[in-house]
Amino acid sequence: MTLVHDTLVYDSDERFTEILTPYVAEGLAAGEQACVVTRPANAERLRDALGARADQVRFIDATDWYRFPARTIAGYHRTIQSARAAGAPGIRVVGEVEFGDTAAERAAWTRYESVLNEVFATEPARIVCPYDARRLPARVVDDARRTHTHEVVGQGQRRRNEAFVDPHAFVAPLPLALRGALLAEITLDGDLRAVRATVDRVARQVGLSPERTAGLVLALNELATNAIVHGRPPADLRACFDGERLSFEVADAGKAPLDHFAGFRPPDPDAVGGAGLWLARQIADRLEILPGAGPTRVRMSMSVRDAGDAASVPAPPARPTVPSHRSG
Amino acid sequence: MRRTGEVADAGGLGVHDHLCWSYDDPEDFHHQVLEFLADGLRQGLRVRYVASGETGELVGHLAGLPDLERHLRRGAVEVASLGDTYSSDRVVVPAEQVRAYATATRDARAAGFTGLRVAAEATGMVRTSAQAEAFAAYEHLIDRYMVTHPFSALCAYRRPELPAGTVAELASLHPAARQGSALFRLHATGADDPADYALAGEVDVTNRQLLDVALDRADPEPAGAERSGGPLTIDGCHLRFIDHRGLLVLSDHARRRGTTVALRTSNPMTAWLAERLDLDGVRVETA
Repeated sequence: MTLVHDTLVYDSDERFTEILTPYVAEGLAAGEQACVVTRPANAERLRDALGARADQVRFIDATDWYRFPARTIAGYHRTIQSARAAGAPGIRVVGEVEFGDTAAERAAWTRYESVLNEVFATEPARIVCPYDARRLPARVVDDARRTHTHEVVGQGQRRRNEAFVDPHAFVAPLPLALRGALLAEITLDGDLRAVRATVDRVARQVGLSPERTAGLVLALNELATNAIVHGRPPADLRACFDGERLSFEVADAGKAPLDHFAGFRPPDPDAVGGAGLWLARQIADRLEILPGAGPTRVRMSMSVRDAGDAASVPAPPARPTVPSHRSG
Repeated sequence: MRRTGEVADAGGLGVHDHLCWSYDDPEDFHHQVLEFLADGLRQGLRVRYVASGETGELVGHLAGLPDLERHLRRGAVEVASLGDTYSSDRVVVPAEQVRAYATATRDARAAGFTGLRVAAEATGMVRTSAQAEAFAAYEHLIDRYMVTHPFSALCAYRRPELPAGTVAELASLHPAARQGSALFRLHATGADDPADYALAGEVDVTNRQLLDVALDRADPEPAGAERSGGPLTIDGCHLRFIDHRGLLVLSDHARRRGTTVALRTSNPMTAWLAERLDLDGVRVETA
């Protein structure tokens, strides 16, 4: 079994439950695990429709789950691995993405949808991503048909999306500017301790908590390590701050050997290497490998606002909590 | 409390301290020796200077010590030529050498001193890889002895005379080392600390292979032997940074020994790393 990643465009609550209830129930009947990530009201409707079977389903609040694309991918990776470890023949997911309010967020989550096709290509997972046509911009819904091979059009009925674009053609870097005052600029000459000391100083200067500072130091150490080990000199690191977020660029003179999925694919636990960019993506709010055949430039940013407790440990919950009682 | 970390000079060290002093300029080395031994005399220790050369020449190096003649007469200051101190084939036998210093420390105590302090110019003992490997193992073994006995040492190595890497390897096995010579240190823990070792400083891609070597050198059991008992416990309270490659070195070392690693550290990201990477062989406790 390999990945099935479909979209469902719906315009009524009835449509949502009418399609997804049998989808989830069929998986449970086959011994598969089931995981539903959506808004609480949709979760409630699905629970009601599933009845007692809902107890076998893991429900996750979409606003907690869809905060940063790389962390969400890592979260799904864990979910799939734990289903495998439990001996389940597969896992069924309902993943209703929270696209955010800005064009930049929507672009990042649309890209995420395409990335999933590549990074989970060989996983025994079936994912349906519901798109609420009543509240999402038409552009986002159109893009869903470019990032999913099929659309669910009826109970058990799938139609090929003619607009689907191969992820290798679709996924591209998004703009990420270095904004604000330049706080530090150093040459990467192999002294990683100096890199860490610089990042630590800059993070403290702007009031980042010790935990998030430690995360930032780890992430930039990884990016600098890549520049030193895989890149070509001269390499340097710059840090900027615009009052709200810290942004960094690590650049070297090598030609980017990185594909656009680098750091999205979970690292192979049995292989050394390949984990650095993945770890940095887990920690950063945003990370982009800049396009072009010239120097390799990787940018990452982190907001200094601590967006709730979850951000202090930059990871999705290993085991998202299942509500113990029904609300509403 | 033992002095740990990187230091700018050899002054102010206590009765259990173990400093690695790598140098280029012999004058700098002689200056540090005088400071280290003068401190020792003030603490009531018998002090010994070990280096290659004739005894008379070695005494000459100590000319700057106040009351040198008197100290020599009463046995508070001793000098020993390198060949007299270490075994004759010049590849040290770690356990024998530790026994020799244990005897000397007891003798010093019996003679009314508070303990023994040695400044050793050991470059001649580590010129070949076989010599250096044995001496590195000795450095860790003597470090364990020092924790619980009034024996302190300055181990000096002259960089221009040694192969690249040798000094870094030796320095990494001391709790204290000259500034810039040991990004991490693997050393014995305090007497009341149940951990197998302390790992301090920073581990990254530039020194992870050195960590691999240091773990082998500091291994109290023969290479390849199955470890008896529980996990290898490492006190990382002064481990400022370790990247995922460093954690992999720890987990690989433990796996070769048929065990796992329990690492205690104050860096909140270290536990996160081990968990994110599913490193089964490494359990991190955040102190």
